[in-house]
Amino acid sequence: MIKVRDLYFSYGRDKNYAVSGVSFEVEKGEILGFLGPNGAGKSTMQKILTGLLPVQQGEVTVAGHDMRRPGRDLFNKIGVSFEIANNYHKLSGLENLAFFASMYEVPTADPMALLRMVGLEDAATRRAGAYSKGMSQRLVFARSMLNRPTIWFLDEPTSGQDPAMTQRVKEIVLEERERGVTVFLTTHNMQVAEDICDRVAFINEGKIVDLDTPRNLKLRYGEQFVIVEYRDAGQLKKQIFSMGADKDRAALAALVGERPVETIHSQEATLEEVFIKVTGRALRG
Amino acid sequence: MFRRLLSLTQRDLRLITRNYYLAIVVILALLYALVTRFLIPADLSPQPAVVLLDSTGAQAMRQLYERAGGGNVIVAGSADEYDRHLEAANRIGIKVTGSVMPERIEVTYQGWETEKTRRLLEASLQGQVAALTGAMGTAFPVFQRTVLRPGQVAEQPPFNLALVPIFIFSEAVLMGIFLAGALLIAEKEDRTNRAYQVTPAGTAEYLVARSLAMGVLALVFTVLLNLLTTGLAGNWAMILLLVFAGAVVTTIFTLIYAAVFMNLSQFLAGSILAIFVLSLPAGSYFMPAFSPVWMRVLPSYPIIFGLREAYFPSGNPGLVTTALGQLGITALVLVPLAMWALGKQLRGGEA
Ligand SMILES: Nc1ncnc2c1ncn2[C@@H]1O[C@H](COP(=O)(O)OP(=O)(O)OP(=O)(O)O)[C@@H](O)[C@H]1O
Ligand SMILES: [Mg+2]
Repeated sequence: MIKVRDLYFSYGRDKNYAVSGVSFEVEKGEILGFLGPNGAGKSTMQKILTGLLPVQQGEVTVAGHDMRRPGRDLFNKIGVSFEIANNYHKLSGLENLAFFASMYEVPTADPMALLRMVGLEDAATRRAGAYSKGMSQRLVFARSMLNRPTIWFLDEPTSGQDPAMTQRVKEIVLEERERGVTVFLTTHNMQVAEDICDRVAFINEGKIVDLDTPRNLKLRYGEQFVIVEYRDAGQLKKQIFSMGADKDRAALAALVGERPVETIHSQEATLEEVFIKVTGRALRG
Repeated sequence: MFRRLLSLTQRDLRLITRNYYLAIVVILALLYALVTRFLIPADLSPQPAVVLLDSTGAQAMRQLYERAGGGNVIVAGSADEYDRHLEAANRIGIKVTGSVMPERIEVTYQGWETEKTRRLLEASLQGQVAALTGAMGTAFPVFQRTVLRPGQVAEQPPFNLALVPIFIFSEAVLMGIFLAGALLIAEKEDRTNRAYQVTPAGTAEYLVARSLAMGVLALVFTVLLNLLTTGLAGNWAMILLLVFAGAVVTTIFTLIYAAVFMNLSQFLAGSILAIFVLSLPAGSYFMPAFSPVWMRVLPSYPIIFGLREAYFPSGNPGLVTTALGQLGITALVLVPLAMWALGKQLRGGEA
C-alpha cells in the first residue's frame, strides 16, 4: 500500500537532509511503527506520504498514487492524524467533524459516533479552542477516521493521552487493522509500538537504521536476562545473569546446582532498550 | 461539489461571526450612519451673493433688498455692471424689468447650484414679490430661469450623503483586506489549512466560498448603512452588485498578497500600504479634475465612480458597467494567481 524508494528530502533544498535515502514498503493490513528520536525525520516522512511536502528526490507510491502527482482522489482513501492538534478553535468539536466530513466524496462516519469513540461526547458542542491538549489531540484522531480510510497515518496519536485513552487508541487501531486498514504509526511510546506494530522502523538523522518485527529486533539487539532468587544461609538473595555472556551462563548453572532456588524469571529485552542501542540516544533525552 | 461549497461558506460565515467580524461591521455601519446623519452638514458650499438689477420705474425690489440690508446683496447700476458681477463663480443674478412694477424676473445661475438651493431661492423670491404686487394690486410678474453653464458640474447630492459611496467603498470593499487576511493568517497559525489539504477538497471551492462569505459581509454593511442614510434612493441592484463584486475582488487580491507575509504584523503593515494606495482615487471623487492616469488604472477607481453613479444617477449608467467590467477583468487576471498563492498557503507555506 505504501512504497518508498531512495527518498531524500531537504527543507532548504540543500545537502541538509531531513530524510536521507529512505526505502521501505508497508503491506495492506499492516501496522508499521515509525520510531526515532526528536528531529529524526518522522513527521517529515509522514508529510511527504500525505502530500503535504513534495517528493524532491526518489519515488513514493501511496495506494497506487504516485506522490509526485497524487490527484485529489487519494485523499478520499487516506486518513491523517497530526502531531500538533489543528482544529478550528471557533467551531465546536462536532462542527469541526461535520465540516471535514462534508469535504469527502465517499461515505463518511457519523461525527457523533466518532466523538463517543474517543470520549468527547460530552464536549461535542463546546468550542474546540476550549479543549485541553489531550482532548484536542483526540479530536484530531477522530477526524482522521471520518472517511473510513484504507491507509491511516498517525503521528503520535497517544501523545498527551492518559493511560486509559492510550489503551483505547491501541484497541481502535487494532480493530481497524482487522478491517484491512494499513497503518503508518509514528510514536514515542515504545509500549504502544511493541503492543500493536507488526513491524517497526527505527529512524535516526533521516535514515532508517533498522526495520523488522519487534520480536526480531529484540532478539537482535536486546539482551535476555535471568533473575534468580535463592536462599543463602537463610537469607533471600537476588542475582541477575545476562544470557549473552558465557561467564554469566556458567555462573547461573552453578548457582542452580548449589543453592535452593526460589524463583527464576527471564527478563526479555524491551523495545526501549533496542531504541537506545539502535539510535545511540536515550528516549526523551 | 455543491455540498462542499455550502459547507465551506457556512464555515466561513461561522468564523466571521464568532471572530466578531460581523459585530464589527454592524457597529461600523451604525457609527457611519450616525456621523452621516448628525455630524456632517448637508451643505458645505459658501452662501452665494445675490446680484440685483432693478430696472423698473418704481425700483420696488431694490428698495426692498436695501431695506433688508443684506451684506450678501450687490445692487448693480447697469446691465454691464450686472453682467460683470455675475462673472464671479459664486453669484446668483436677479434681473427685474418692468415699466413701473416688476413684470419680468430673470434669475441667473452659475450651474453648480443644487436643485434644492434653486428652489429655495426662487420660493423666497416669489414670496417677496407676491407681497409687493399684492400690496400694489398689480399682476404677478413672469419668472424666468437662466443657467450660465448648465451641466458644468453635475447635480450635487447633499454633502453628507455624497460621502456614503466613499464609506461603502472604504468599509464594505477595502475592509475585506483586513478581514480576509486575518482569517487566512489565523488558519496558517492554527494549522487548520493542513487539515484541509489532506481532504479531497481543493483550492477552487475554498476560494469561491471565502469570496462568497466576504461578499455577504460587505452586503450586510451596505444594506444597513443605506437604510439608515440614503434610504431607498439610488439604484439598489447596481449598488449591491458593485459592492459584492468589489468585495470578491478584494478578497481574491488579499489571498494573493497575504501568501507573501509570514505573520500578522507583516501582513498588517502590508495592508496599511495597500489600503492607502487603493484609497487614493477617493481624492478624485471630491476633485474630479484630479484623476491622473495611474490613478485610473487602480481597480478602486472605477468602483468609486461606479458607486457614485449607482447612488446618485447622473444619467451615465456606463460608469457602473465600466466598473463591473473592470472588476471582472481584474478577477480574471487575479484568480490564477490567487489559486497558486492559496495552494501554497494551504500546504502550510512550506516548500
Ligand atoms: N518546517 C521546517 N523547516 C525547516 N526544517 C524543518 C521543518 N520541520 C522540520 N524540520 C527539520 O527537519 C528535521 C526532522 O524534523 P521532523 O519534524 O520530521 O522530526 P520528528 O522525527 O518528527 O521529531 P519529533 O519526534 O520531535 O516529532 C529536524 O531537523 C527539523 O529541525
Ligand atoms: Mg514529529
